[in-house]
Amino acid sequence: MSNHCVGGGGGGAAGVDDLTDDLVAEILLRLRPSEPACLVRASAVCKPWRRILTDQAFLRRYRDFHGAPPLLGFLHNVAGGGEDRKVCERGYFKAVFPYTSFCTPGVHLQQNRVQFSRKRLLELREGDVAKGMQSNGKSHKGGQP
Amino acid sequence: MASGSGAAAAAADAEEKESGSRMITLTSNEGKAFVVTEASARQSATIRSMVDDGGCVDKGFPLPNVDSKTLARVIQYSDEHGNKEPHTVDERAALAKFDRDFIAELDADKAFLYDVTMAANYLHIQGLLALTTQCVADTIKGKTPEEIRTAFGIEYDLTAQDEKEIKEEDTHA
Repeated sequence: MSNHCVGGGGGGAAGVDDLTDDLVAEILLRLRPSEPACLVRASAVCKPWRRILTDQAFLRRYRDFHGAPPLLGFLHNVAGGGEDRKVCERGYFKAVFPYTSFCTPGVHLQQNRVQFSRKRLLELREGDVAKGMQSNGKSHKGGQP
Repeated sequence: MASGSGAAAAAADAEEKESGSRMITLTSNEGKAFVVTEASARQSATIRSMVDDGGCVDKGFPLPNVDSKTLARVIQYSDEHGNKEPHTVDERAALAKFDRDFIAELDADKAFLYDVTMAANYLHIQGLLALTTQCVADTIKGKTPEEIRTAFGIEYDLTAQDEKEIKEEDTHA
């Protein structure tokens, strides 16, 4: 802060590295979660940025700031039955709904089509793709996102 | 400010204080004085707390970290947000348009944008800080690390170990 006035008259003297870590954190906090690769790229810029972006307190703040990551969709199997069940257990799932095109009622409708009643579908969220299905406390890794 | 003597002056001062219509002087690090309404000055949490703590409103507030050009721009924002209280949809839309135009102009001069960002941080003007930091964050969008370094004049200082970790993270992003 102390030297920021130096560049105040313009001429390109001020730069991002004149900003304090706190201020850089304020900026990085606003990187949009819809583009998670952006966070990774930003962490590859320099040591101070990397330190901020890997700091647990910052990451907690980031989650609080943006809320839960957008729901991308979820896995389901519309056909059901023996062969499909095997396919499911091997961890290959097809339908993942683009998060831009469904709303909550749609989610319920789609969930009703799931054939495996003892299995509970988990949400599929950005940055946490394909956690798959859960059955009797066991997790199956999902396949194609 | 109120002139005259005794009770009348005190009453006028109290009324101004009550209504937030007092004028406050902010002085840049170049010694230039800017007279603003208290409502405008109160956009800054830093000044607000000084005023509420009974600070030297009459003497004004020197801002040693802010130059005249930056302070003028910050005041432009604070006046718009402090002096007008949008009630209708149209008024809110007008304020939103002001913000868009304000940030678009700053975006064209990055060095100045950083100066205003730092001033907003120093003065704790949350709305302005949110506006400017979001603008800088959006600049980062879609750029490679190298492009970000070039755009912001940042020196590369990562180790091979850092690089390796980043590559691993990148495959999961």
